[in-house]
Amino acid sequence: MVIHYKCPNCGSDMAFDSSSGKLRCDSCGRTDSIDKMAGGKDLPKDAKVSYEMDEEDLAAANASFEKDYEDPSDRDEPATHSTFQGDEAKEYNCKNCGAVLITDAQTTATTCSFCGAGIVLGDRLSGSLAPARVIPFTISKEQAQEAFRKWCRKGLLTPKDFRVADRIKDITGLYVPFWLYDLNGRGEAEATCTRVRTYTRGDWIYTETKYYHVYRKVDLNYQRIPCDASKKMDDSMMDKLEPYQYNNLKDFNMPYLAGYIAEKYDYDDAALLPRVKDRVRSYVDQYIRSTIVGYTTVNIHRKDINIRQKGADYTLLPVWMVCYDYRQAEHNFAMNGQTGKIVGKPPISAGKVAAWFFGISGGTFLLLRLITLLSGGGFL
Amino acid sequence: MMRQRSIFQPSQSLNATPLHRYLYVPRLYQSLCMALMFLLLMISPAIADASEKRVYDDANLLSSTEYEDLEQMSLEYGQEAGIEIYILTHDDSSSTYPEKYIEDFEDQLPIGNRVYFLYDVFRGEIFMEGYGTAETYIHSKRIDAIMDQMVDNLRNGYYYDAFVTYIDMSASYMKDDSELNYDHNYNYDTPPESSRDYDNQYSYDDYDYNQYYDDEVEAKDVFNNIWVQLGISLVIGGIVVGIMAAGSGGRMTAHGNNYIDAGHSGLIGRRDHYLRTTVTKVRRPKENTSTGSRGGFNAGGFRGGVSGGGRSHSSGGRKL
Repeated sequence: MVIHYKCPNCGSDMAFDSSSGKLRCDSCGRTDSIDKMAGGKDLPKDAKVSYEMDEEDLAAANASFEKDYEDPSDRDEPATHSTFQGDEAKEYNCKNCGAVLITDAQTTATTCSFCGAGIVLGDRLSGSLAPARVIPFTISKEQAQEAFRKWCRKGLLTPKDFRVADRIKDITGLYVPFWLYDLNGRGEAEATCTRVRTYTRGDWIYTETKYYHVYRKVDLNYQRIPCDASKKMDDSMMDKLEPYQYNNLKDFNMPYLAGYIAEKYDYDDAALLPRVKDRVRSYVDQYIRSTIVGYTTVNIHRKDINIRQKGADYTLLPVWMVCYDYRQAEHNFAMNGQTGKIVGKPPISAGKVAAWFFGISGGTFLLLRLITLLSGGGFL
Repeated sequence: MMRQRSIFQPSQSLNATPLHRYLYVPRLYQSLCMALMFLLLMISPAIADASEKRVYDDANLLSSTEYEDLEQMSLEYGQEAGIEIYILTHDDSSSTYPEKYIEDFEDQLPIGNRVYFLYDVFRGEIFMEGYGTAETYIHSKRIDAIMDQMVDNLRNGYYYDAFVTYIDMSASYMKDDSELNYDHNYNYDTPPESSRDYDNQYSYDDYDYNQYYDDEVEAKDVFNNIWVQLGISLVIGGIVVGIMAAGSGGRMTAHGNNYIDAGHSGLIGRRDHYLRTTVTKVRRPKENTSTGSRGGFNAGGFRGGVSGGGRSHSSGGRKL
């Protein structure tokens, strides 16, 4: 099922616009809200769908082609040759130009490499593969490019010719599949702690050590901890992209994907649970530790932490992938499509490393010699 | 015998430099104090013996019966002489040098009149120090005489006999007023000219006290050493650049508090039970003795030093 979003006005392809949060037609400038364009979403029977017709809709209704944007051809099943399962490679055809769409088994949204139209593969976003939530892009391609250039200039160890950032080979807006876990963590710890006080009486310095037995029990709820469910994406890179702002978390609708690349998950929530549990275990551990205050030393001798999954939402999070060509090698960077945070290993200039190293070492050395000089020693 | 007599030549103490004369008031005061203490100790020896343990044989040189005997003997002789007579042995490579080892031991105890004998088996050195009245009575020349009588037995492994000699001679010197040392200011690095031991009668001149002081000064000055500072600088430079390089790819900025549901999370149980209190004490270091236990000679040519806790003592050491 290949879904195109066509402009009701001019029939051109529409794509999600990060600045307005709506679908926008580049040709005529028309924008439509996501809810309105989300044809594929099934509503409960008793739900009341109200939508206000704007001038253009009224004009269209009056002209009695109110079904214009529900062109029956949009609902056609794709020409598939397959006995393939839904999660395997499948051939889809662009409905604009008929070209074969190049997709991976994971691709759920892409652009036609021939005509550039944004396409959503509906059958890969339904059933158990239907995402529950999405955070739409709020940073446009131009903003992403600008932010990346700025970031390159800030690098203290990056080579000079990298810092001009003029070789961005490719920048791709990607909805990466994540599981957002809700977890409950219970932890219990017992520790022996001391409070040390020193005081002087006469010729003696007394050190008084008071020992305490300390017990703590915590019950913590963590919400929406993201865990990257895509095999292709580097886990540590995706972790570093956090945090996302969840006030912009939306119920999933296919039009959000129009004009971007999207993938479906490779790992289900059960497969990634151990990884996220490890992470939350360290959070609970830190929390327990933070509740033991006012002691000089803390020696924890028993600690039990139990993590329980309360729920997991399949969510698509926006990432700009920047592919940068530098000296015949490609460097990949990822940018949080919502907050603009950039991660990825930039090339490191040996000369700059050496300059910083000797600069800092030399400065420290001079400082130490100066202290020696002031405290009565010779400079050399 | 000729040797022995020459130690006690009265002319030695009359040879004192003018410094001695200026110190007559504290000297008088000191003697008075000492006399008082003596009296007190004679009346109630139990006061001085806060702890009855006198022999600390960490190097295990003695059999258990020998150990019991020496404990008994040092207590008895000590009570009679008005001092506490200690025997320390150890074979610990990590311990400090003999002079300071005894000083540190003394600093753990309340002020008192004590004489110490230490056999540092690891270094192959013996050392003696006298505190309080024992500093006056068992001064460096007498220490030297005691050691003269001990070394042969120590070298041949007759530790018990050597220690008996030590206890016996220490106790008897406390009753011998022939040549005493009241000057407890050991301000000279070498014995003054007037008291120089030209005939090489005293072996304490042969013991190289400075070997350990140099190490100590070096350890104190290690941060002022140009190479050490260079090393520290390079390490700091390396760490800073390492952090910069590691951080260039972006850091993890999401933590537990980003995801915690604050309204439904928290501490559901806490107890802080007091168990017990322990108190340890160390003698407060004196400001003017910050150079450690660097000892020296007084105007009369007697050797001594000051502990980290500010206690002055007579001293003498020897390589075995």
